[in-house]
Amino acid sequence: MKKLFALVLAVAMLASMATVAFAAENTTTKSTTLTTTVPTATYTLNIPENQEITYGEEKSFIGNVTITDGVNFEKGKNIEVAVMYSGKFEADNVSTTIPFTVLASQYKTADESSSFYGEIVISDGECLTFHGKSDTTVSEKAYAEFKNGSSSTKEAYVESLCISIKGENWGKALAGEYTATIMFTAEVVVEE
Amino acid sequence: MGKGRFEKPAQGRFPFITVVLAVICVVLVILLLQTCQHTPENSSESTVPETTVVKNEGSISIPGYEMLELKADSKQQTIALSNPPQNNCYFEISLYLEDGTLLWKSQLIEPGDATEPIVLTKELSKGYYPKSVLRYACFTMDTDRTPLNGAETKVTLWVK
Repeated sequence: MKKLFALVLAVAMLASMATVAFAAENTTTKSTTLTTTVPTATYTLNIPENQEITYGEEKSFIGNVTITDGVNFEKGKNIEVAVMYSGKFEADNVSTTIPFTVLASQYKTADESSSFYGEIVISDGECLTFHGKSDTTVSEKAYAEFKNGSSSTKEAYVESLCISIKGENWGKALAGEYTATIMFTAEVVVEE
Repeated sequence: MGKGRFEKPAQGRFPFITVVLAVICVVLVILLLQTCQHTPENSSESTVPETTVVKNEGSISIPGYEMLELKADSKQQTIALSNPPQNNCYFEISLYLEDGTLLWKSQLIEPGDATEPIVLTKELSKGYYPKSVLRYACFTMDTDRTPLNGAETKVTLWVK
């Protein structure tokens, strides 16, 4: 009886070792896929409609570019608005053109304590930046920096755009009804 | 067992009380009806506040999206695009891929209106199409249809 029991135990031990050997050779790997969805940001871009520029005026305010109704933004997730324009007023059947430049010219300080006049030329294709905020909205007005020499920087927000036409260019234009359009291109971007 | 006493009601008194009660009821009903006719819900001048739109003065509002979802392998889509009600101009909206391929163009859209679900010029395969462009051409609402300042918004098309 003892011999029989010992034989059974030996066989059982051998069988369990084989099982261990099989386990070592048939390893399976499982993985878990993690997913997350970043919500889409939406906003409303508000641009100047159309402005009648008074003949002879060298600086004409044309309103502002603003962003409202911003949703699903964050600090570091901004909107850049490129300002594109031909740089000249043209008229049908008139050979002359009237060159102009777009300026960002009226500002309010970042702490909203004061307004001031300054000029930053916005070249064709240059961007205005509207910063995303940690409360998931986005700044209504474009950000700008003014440097006083190399010592200090004044942070401000753009309050108005301006069309600048040199006096001499008015003088070189033949009579006619001139028009020009400005195209604004907005894009959601993330800071690097 | 003794007989109980039964007192007959006074002749003429009961009908008088009935009449008085009936008159009072009629008066109350009339007053109630008159009150209902003059309640705010039934008055000809509605006091339910209506949503009023404050129109833009000198500016145009352009909707912007970081991403739009489209159906793969189908020209017919479910999304529609709109002209915000606060505008004073027509929109003509176009959708382009980054390489300039025109996917869709709308008719003139009045402020407050939206397009029908858009129908693309070509089917798109599944995937992301970054830097696609929604172009908004804006026009005056008179017969001249004078072009106004326009805008473009760059958008990623998620086709799935």
